Amino acid sequence: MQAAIENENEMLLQVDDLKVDYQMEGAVGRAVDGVSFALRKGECIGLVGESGSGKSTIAKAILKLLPSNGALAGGRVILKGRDISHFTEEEMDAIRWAEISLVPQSAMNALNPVQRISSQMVETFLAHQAKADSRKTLLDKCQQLFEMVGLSRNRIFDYPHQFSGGMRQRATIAMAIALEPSVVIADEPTTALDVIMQAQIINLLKSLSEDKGVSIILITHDISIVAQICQRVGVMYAGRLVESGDILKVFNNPFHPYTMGLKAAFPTIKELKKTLISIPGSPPLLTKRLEGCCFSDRCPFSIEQCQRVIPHTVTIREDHYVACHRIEYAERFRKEIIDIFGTRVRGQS
Amino acid sequence: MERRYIASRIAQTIITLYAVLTLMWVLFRLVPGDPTAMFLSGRLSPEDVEAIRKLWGLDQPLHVQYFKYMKNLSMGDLGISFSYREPVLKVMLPALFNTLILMIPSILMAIVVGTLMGTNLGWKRGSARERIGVVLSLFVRSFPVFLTGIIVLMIFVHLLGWFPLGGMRTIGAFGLSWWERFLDVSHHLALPFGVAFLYYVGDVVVISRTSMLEMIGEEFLQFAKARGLSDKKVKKIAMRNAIIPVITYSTILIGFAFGGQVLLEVVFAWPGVGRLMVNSVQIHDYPVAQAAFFLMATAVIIANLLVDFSYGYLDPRISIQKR
Repeated sequence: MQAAIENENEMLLQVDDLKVDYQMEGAVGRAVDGVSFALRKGECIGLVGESGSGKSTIAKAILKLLPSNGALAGGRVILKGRDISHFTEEEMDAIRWAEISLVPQSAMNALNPVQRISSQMVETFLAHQAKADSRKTLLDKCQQLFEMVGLSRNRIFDYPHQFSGGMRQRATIAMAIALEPSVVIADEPTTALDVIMQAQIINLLKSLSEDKGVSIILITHDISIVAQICQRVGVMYAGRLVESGDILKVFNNPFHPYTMGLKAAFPTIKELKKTLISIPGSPPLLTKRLEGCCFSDRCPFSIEQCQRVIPHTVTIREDHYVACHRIEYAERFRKEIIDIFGTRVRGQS
Repeated sequence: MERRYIASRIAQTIITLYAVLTLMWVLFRLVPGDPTAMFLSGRLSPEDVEAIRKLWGLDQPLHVQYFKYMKNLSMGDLGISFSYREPVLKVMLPALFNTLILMIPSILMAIVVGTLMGTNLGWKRGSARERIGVVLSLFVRSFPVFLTGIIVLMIFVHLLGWFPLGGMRTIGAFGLSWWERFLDVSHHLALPFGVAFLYYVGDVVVISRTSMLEMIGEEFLQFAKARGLSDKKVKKIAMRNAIIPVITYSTILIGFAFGGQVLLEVVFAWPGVGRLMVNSVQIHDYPVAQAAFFLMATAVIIANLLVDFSYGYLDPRISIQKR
């Protein structure tokens, strides 16, 4: 996912050395620290990591929707060759939704409760059209979108509270693709849903990506969802991208101890007897200035160098990048990590 | 909205009104003193007092008086004023008209201006303008009406002489055209209108600001921003959502307008319901006092009813359903 290495032309969106700071009661917290990745046309990439690792902040930074105490501290966001990180509000209004749209985490709260969904969709069109189509044409377009995401066209005149959680998420997805944007950022689109709805929404996103060629950045803490639809993945920890690349390479042969831990923390149906692990400790405080590797405090393989020097991101092989000082021992770590943290799955002990 | 809900809500309102009427009737009879006292006692012989009491029906047992009152009221007869010797309606209606031409414009303007100011202040949270605006609106809000009134009278009447001292019309001005009369009343109205506006606008500003503050950080606003809507449009969405509690408050405020503003009417010698009400209570003019209080209670209760009905429209999440 290293931006510089890729061919510039087929790159839709490049995030280059992105840094985001939050003002927090006197102290400055760096929520995103030098993250770089790129999104190709028609590709679906996943950003995984635990809560507070900076995933959602990246989404907000790309759209320039950071809260008032947050600010871009460095880096570039290049959309189709243009650096949009310095765009003014007015310029961003044109980029937002027309070029980059968002599927929000909580569709419940993302829709205006006192406005019919139809008029919310129509107003989105109107905000981006110099000479607007007639209301009827727009409404018809919106109804087609509703059908595309599996909603009945008459339900478009409902208010958000008349929809179930899954329907609301479908409606926001319909909105997200309404202007045929180049990039759709899905920020934990399934977190608030039950498993059945999750599967349906994932399938919907998958079909959008495969059939319509929509490029998706999927932000989630659930690596099984990433595994289902993404071609590439970035693993985030404490605001940094610790490992990234082709999804099979990263998950089959992780090189960063955190990725190993993350992978081993998720159960799979195929391997019921698999030992699940949990990594003790929690991510460092946002306001703590990190001298070394961000994972060194929790890493069982941490050595003196890890505490002191920030590891560079190195290329392991084609499309597989890791930021770790001890990649040469990765194979040994993969075995040991289970023994160190292993707890048997319930019922298997 | 469901018809059954409306019907039951109206039935409730009627029961409430009946309870208010009864309570008021009882309360006025519990107040120490006697309607005949306004004839400066002493000079009336006990026989005369008895004759007046008999004339007004006050010699009858209380329950008879009560049923008679209710019976007359149900036929729209509010009785005859003890002091004015005229039907209560004839006394009340001009006073009500005077009160409403003062209160309705000032309250409506307070609502419109207050909502615009309050939502704007809330939207610009933390700015210097917001802090000044909040302090200022709390300041005018906590100033008693009579004090503001007297200060305004001192400045604009005594020092500058721009406005008349009080009352509603220039005394002794006859033969004016319709237009001249209108100008004359407006001239008299300006100061009490301004004072009432200042008094009411503070609360509206504070309520709508708080309501707007609750909108900041709402996800649907951020989502609207993400959809590429301009700041102006996003603010509009926030205002539409923030306005709901303001409307509740405003409707009830208009209900209270029917009772007038006693202090304001006294300071500016405005011949409204408020003064009439206080006067009638003091001289035990039961029919007028009861009618005035009844009018105010009715207005407030009906305002509440309208708020309840309007909610379904204002906030579609609130729907009326059978339980």
